[in-house]
Amino acid sequence: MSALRGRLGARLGPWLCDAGVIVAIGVFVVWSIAPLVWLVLSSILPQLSLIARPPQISPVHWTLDNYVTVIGSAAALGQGMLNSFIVASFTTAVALALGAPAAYALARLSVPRSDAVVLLILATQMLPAIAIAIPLFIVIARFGLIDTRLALIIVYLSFNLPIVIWILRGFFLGIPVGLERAAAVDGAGVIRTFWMIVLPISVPPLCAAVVFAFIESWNEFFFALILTRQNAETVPLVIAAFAGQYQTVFGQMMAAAVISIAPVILLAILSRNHIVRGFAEGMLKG
Amino acid sequence: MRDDITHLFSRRTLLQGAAGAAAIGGFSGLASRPARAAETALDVFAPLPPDPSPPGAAKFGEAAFAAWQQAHDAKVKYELLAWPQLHDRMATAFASGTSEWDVVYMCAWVPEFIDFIVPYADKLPPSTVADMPVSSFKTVTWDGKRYGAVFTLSLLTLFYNTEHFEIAGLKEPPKTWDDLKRYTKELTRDGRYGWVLDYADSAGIGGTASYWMCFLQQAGGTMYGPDGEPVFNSDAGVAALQMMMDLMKLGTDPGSMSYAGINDATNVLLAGRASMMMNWPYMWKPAQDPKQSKIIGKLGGAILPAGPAGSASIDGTDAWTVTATCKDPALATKLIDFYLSPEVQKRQALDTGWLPIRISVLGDPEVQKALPNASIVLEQAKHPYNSFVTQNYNQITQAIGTEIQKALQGRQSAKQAMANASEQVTQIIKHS
Repeated sequence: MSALRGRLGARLGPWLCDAGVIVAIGVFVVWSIAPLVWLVLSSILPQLSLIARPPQISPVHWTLDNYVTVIGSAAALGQGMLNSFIVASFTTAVALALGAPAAYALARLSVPRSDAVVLLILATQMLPAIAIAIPLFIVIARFGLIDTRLALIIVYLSFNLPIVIWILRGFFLGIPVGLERAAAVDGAGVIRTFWMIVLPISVPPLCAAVVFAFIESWNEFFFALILTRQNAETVPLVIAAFAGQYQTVFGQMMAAAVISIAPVILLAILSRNHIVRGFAEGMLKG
Repeated sequence: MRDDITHLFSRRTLLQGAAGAAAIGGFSGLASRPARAAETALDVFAPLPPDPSPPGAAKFGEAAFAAWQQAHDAKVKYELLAWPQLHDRMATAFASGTSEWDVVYMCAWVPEFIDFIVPYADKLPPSTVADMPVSSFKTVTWDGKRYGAVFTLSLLTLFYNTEHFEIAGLKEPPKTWDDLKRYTKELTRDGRYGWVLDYADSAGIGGTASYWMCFLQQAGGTMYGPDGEPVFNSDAGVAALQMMMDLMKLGTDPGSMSYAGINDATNVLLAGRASMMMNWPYMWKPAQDPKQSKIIGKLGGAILPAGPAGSASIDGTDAWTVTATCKDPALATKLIDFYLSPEVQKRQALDTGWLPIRISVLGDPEVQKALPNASIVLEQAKHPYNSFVTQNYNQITQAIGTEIQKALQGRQSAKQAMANASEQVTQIIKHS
């Protein structure tokens, strides 16, 4: 009897283990995707269906009215998306252009107290935004940059660059030193080695850094609120405009949100493999 | 596919992308702002519609607005922002000394921003001031000087579902606290609740503390003594909170504790899931919109039920102010007088649902017919409606509201909540 139980246990054990993993992953996926599904669903429901209890979500209630209205008054959304795209792209490009060499230097070159420098870079992230809001605003205003995209790029760089350096340094540390030594034997200097050897094998972490910096810049709200007015307003502000003091147009807000996250989702889908590898390798070795 | 993606994100493409982004940025004029109009005479900072917004920003009085600009050879430029973000942008701009606005919308923030605005309201034409309720200047007056002019009579009044009343055999709106408690209990049936409100946000006008201030005044209490010290930890203060707690037990929508804005609670009433609430006059218009409301033709209104001291409310305090850095204060005053003109006020009421502040326009038959709640608000205005705004209004209401929330959740008694709140408010005032 006990032998039978043992055999059964041995057979069921792996199966139960697999089932547990599948259930856990399923729960995690539902947990992660549910807000996105609700976002899309809310965008195709009229206000009355949304405020009903329970919400009336059956297909008979679905409508594209929210999208028609949002697109019909799309000047602000279009301008917001353009501003967000320019700011996020430029921030990402500069963060990468400055962050990659800096990360490589901190990983490979004999920078005095490089560990302390890395910690210091990370420490810059620990200041709450509100603590630097007023001084930052004064500096930006003194330079006449209020309501410009450049102001946002400068500010976003300040918190994206350290993270980019952190991600890439971790990856660079994991590259076998032999590769670089071989390049050195062939006469390559530091810059050439970085350019010809290190960068080509660093696509995953570069992609991860790109996606991270782009999403952070695309979604940022607080500094966009205080540093912009009407001209440099970014997408999060445009979406927030659907929520007033006395009235919130949920459906239209969600429709605008769906439209605005499309570029980010596209970017994430296109680079999903690299993101996973990049973050895993970069973070683990960092 | 994977190779394709790898190819797509090769080093070269990444760098090309970076260069492309730089080019876009360069060509798009990153640091340039579209000509900051040299011809702009006045910059006005206001909420985005449908929150209370000026003519030309909201859809009313556009022709009159254009005519005013032409007649005064002035160009008015609006900077509009969603209401919930107004305060933060204003605070940052004022604190850094870089505000470029001439006329600014305020809502209970006059004392807080007193150093950045000027007392212009006494320069408004006497005919305009005489046509406004004297009490409307209370929330915009500081040290005896009038810093603003309220442009919409926005008091909390009672809204109720007439159909639910009929089903419950209730013939008229509740007139006293006892009525309100009884009605709340009787109307809580068939899966709906007798009372709904938003209690999740503790601070500011429309926050939990401000609702309690209605009950406080109805109970005969007040916030501050003549010396400016808090005196709300009184029998009246405790009774006011106890009333809210009683309503909670008798049939307040439990979701009220998580509704973070009046619009959340409004939606519950408009969906027919609750029978009564206190709300701002603006609610009347969306309640008649078939896209937003299931209770069209079923909305009733009344003044707030009387406590031991009678009925009382609070003021939404939507006001126009002139900044200390205003380029042309005289012109700014004229612009505000235009906003307050009978013609604009009438269009404001008819086209947006925001009631006028001018008594003559409130009494206009056309306005009363289009907005039946106008007469109710006018009646409510005969009773106290102090919002008790001070320089630390947000901080103080945050402290009081948090204690009230705990009491509403049953975590402390009304007496304890008032004692805790009073202690905190005393400290806030002491350290300000």
